[in-house]
Amino acid sequence: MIELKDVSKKFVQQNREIVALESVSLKIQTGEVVVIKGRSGSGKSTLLSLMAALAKPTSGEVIVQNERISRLSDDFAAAFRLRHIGFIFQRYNLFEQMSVFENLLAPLVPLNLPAKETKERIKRVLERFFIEEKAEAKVRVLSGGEQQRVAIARSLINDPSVILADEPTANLDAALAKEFISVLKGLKDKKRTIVVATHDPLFFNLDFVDRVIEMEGGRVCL
Amino acid sequence: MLVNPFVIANLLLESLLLALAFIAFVVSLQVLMWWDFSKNDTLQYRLQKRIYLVSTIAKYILSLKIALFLFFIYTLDHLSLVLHGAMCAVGVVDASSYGKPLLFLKIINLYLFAFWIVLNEEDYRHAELPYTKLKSFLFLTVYLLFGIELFLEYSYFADIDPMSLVSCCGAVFSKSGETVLAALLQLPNSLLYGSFYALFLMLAGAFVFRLYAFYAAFSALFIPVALFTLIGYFGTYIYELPTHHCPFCLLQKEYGYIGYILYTVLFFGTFYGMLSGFFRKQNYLKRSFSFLLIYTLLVSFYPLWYYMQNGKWLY
Amino acid sequence: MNFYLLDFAIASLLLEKRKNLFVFSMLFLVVFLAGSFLFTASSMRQMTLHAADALPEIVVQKRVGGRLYPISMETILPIVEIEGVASVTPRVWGTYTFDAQGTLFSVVGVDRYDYLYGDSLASVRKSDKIIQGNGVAVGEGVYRVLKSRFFTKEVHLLSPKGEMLIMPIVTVFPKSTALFTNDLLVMDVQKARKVLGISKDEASDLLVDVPNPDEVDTIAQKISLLSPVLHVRTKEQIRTVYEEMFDYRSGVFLLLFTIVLATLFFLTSERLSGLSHAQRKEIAVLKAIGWSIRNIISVKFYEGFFIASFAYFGGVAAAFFYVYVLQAPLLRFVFSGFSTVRPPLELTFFPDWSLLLLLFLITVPVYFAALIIPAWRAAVEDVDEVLR
Repeated sequence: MIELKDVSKKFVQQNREIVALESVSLKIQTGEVVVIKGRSGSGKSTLLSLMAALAKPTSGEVIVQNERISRLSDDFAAAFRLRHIGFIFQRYNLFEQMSVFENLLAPLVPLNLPAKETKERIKRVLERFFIEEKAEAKVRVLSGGEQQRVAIARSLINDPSVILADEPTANLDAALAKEFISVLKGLKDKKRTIVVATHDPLFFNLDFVDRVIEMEGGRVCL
Repeated sequence: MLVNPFVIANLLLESLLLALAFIAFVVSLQVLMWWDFSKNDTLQYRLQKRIYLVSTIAKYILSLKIALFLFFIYTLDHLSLVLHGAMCAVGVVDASSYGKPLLFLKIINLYLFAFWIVLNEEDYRHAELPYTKLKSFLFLTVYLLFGIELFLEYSYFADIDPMSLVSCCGAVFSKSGETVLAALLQLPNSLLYGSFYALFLMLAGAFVFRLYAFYAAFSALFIPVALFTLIGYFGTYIYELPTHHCPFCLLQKEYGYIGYILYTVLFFGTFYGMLSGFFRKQNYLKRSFSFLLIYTLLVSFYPLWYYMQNGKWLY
Repeated sequence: MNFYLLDFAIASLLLEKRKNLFVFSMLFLVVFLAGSFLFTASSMRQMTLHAADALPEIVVQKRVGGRLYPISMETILPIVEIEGVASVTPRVWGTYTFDAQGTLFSVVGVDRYDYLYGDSLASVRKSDKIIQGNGVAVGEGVYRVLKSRFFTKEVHLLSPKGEMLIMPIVTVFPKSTALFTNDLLVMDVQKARKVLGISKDEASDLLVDVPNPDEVDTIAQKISLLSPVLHVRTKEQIRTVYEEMFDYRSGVFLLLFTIVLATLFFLTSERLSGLSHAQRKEIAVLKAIGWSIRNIISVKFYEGFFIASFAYFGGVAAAFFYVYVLQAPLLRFVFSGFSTVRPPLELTFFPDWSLLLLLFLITVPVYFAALIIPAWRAAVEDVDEVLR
């Protein structure tokens, strides 16, 4: 479950105060799929980074999976992300000059698991997303579809309970977008909590989406 | 003034460390003034980032300071080749009145830095960083002591006159004389090793029954007792000479650099021992006891080995 | 130790090849420079100490008020009588002021039985020409000075009494030995006495041979008790002076080297500070997938560790090659200015591990210190702006 209680986030940029979020309260149940829509600058991304403990609210509380993540030191916030959050970015954000294996290794590094288990985990997601033969290939030589699967595999490798996606279909052709949506559906069936921040209309009328929340100027429109 | 590559390297590196420590010192001051984990404004946000700079710098300083301490001892040993009359580092330490306080302060600072690092780790183990203010305060203290240490080190090396005659360890650590040390060396051997093993047994007892406070106190006491018995009793077996009382010669090649091992083991053993009193963690207790056990076995080995070889004791 | 972190650090190093290559080459160069100097100095020190082994155990001079005077031959007798002394040999040598500009030559007197100057004068000893022909052997430098005054066949020297001594030049020391024969004038001992104003019953100093090294200090003490004007130096003391001298040179070098180290610090720090867009993105992504600030600082240090080990071992290897294989061209001249300690001709390797430690300590920590602030900066970089 994700809960935001009266959350505000302010920045100071060039001596001007910018309000990114203003008293947002929100509750997302476990297993729910929520789409947050809004123009860029409406506060969608800030909302996601608060849910992932990547940023702290200026005031208010953020509670995810019963943890008050708005009051965590950096080490604990990172450990929280590692355990609970799977991030899917716009344009994948893979490490293009590294191999698929190294990309999948990245989320496992902080865990410092025994070598055998690390390899085991990577092998499992490689199989699940049909990219075993590409393990040693550099990401930049992969096709768009393969890259997408590596990105999803990377975000799911630690089996997170919450999946956050930031404009996941922004640069995808129709076929890839469809493939992505079917992956989301599969995750929904596994009772994962999913939050998608997007302005792609594709998401607004999907049957498995429970709610669409609209944001504007740092506020949730009711 | 001594111009010597080892001396210059020591001074250079210590100065570099102090300069870096200054950055951490400023941040620590800011933390002491403004730290409040319950708030989330820009200032707190900045401070929360800066404490990572402090811990990175402190870790860097400690790891280098351990190496530098050994290097400092090595430098003193090397200087004994240059100074007339010195056989080992003792004469070099004695060559200036700054020598002894400097060595003493260096050891204290090593313990303090190591304590800081552990406190820092403990701090990060809690989500709300409970020790941040404490460790910042401690850093201010350590910084000041470190500054004094560097000042003493400059004065010390500047004070040494390479042309003057210094004394060798035979003169400094002799049984005759008016010093406290001489009086201690005159104690019967049985009392020396008796007190050492008695203290070790008490430590073992405190370890078995997990008496943290006692264990910590005994570890602190273990430092002087171990040093005195090393100089007065165990050392003579390492040298196989009943009259050779010196804590420095055992750092030399002739004795397989055993001194470096002994002192390192002793440092970590007593350090974790005192730490266990502060944090009451079994982990530290176990680590401490293993180190002290190794130390005890190492120093006990020499008399036994001598006995096995010669069929009699040295005295 | 987290090996995945290391693995990742290597992969991430390759992302910024040019920047890292620059940092690597700088550290490499600094290690190489310092290494070459220290190895050369150490090698020369070891060889001089080695040469000092051939020295007599004790040298006795007459010193009054801090100045040296010729020592009376009569002193020999009481010294020889001291138990443990094998022999006492008088030596005649000194400096001769050639002209008003103060050009100094070293005058050394030899006779047929001379064996006490070590191997360095072996070539001279073989040619008895010097003694038979009343001639003189001169060093390369001396010969040059003489030539500039149009003396190519003979040397004109003025004794303290005003007597002009003319001696034919029988040989010039080969150029290859110039490092230690440069200012030498070697002649028959009787001639040398005249040039230096040392009478027949006097010598410059006395060499005392003591076969048992354990007795040297006691005997030295006994000799100095004979007369308050006797200045006694043992081989051990001379060695100490040599040690000091090399230490002093290397120390001064290190002081100057501080400037190089400061440059290393600032250039490295500056180079690492500027984060490219790709790096910012990389760090933001790493944080989003669960890396902490400390993880990122660690990975930066692992990167540094990697660069530093390659630069250090590479620099040491290069310095080894430069000093011991190429025989330190150019750098040798820094050391050839010695007057008291003459540099040997061939640099040979003497294992001295403390030197590697010293070299490590004066270079690598400086690099890591320069790394701290950029690494921290990168690690605490705000993520949310980069995410979009």
